Amino acid sequence: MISKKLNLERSFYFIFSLAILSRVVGDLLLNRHGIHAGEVFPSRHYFSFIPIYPVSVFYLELTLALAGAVLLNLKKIRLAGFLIVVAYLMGLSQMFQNQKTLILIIATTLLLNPLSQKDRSSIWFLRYQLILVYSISALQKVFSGFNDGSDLLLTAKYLLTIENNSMIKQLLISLQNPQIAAVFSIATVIIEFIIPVALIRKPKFGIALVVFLHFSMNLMMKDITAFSLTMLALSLTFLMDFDLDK
Amino acid sequence: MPPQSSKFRAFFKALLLVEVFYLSASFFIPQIPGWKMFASFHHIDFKLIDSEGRAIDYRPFLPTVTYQLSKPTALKLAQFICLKSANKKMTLIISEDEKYFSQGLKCDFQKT
Repeated sequence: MISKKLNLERSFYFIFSLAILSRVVGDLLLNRHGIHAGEVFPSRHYFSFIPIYPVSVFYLELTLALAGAVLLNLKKIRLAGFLIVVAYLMGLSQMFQNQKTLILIIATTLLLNPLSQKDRSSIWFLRYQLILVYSISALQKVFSGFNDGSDLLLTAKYLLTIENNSMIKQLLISLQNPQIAAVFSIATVIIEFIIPVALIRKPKFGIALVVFLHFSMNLMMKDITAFSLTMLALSLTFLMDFDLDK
Repeated sequence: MPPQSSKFRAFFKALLLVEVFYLSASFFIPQIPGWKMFASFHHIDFKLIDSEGRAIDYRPFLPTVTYQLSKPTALKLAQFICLKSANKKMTLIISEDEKYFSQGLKCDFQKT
């Protein structure tokens, strides 16, 4: 039983480190290098009072994130958490992304209190992060009228302009049909509402739903692999031996 | 529901309350990112042309994946491109009724 718990913790750290690695690759593919070199528009630079730093500091940020990812797998959890917190505070100051705030929250949790069966407050807190992400996202979709399919249709239309894979293009073309887009939209909202309940009641089924939802999203959308892996890591906390009702 | 005993319990509970407050506010204040995750899609179509009427491809000046592109962002992007260009006379066309012309060396785009 103890070894099973330790394996779950290791799996959590491993998948979370993959999320960080994926975010580093994602930042390079997004051409953040160009932003720091002054060649690309600093999109989502919400904290504009902090200037865009030079390329060398950008690579320092990526190095800190990578070092943190490696240390997570070497059981140096607090040090890993510290490096990731620094890297993501830097990154968020330059280009805001929701997925980075989630990684920052998780890293801060690990820095303060690594996962442990003796002190389960981190596990409890991380479970709530997943519940908040899915439930708020689903509610936002309901209130913004996402269910009618028009936003998914527009998203697919934009994705068609940047997609090269012919099979995925066909899938995106099918979403240009308003009825199909509406069905996919409603299904997405329903799955987002179901996942937290499933994870609490039947964790393995819940994790399967997380994998299914994010695999489908990753097929079509770019730059969300890190987010998907982060949500998968968070879903593992529901398998760790801790009763949410206590 | 909260953990039974932990020196971090109070801290995590407080942090969670702040998060819930912030995420609740995101329903009423559109500027707060919250967890909207493609709940709405805004990627405006616009054209940027130089003084001789040639279209300027603005995509290389954007991060490779830019899902949301609002009008204020398009204006800032146009200014960014204009400042880098030798020819500072540019027009941003959002629609036939909505055109912005760059003004001066600072490339301020003004509506006409």
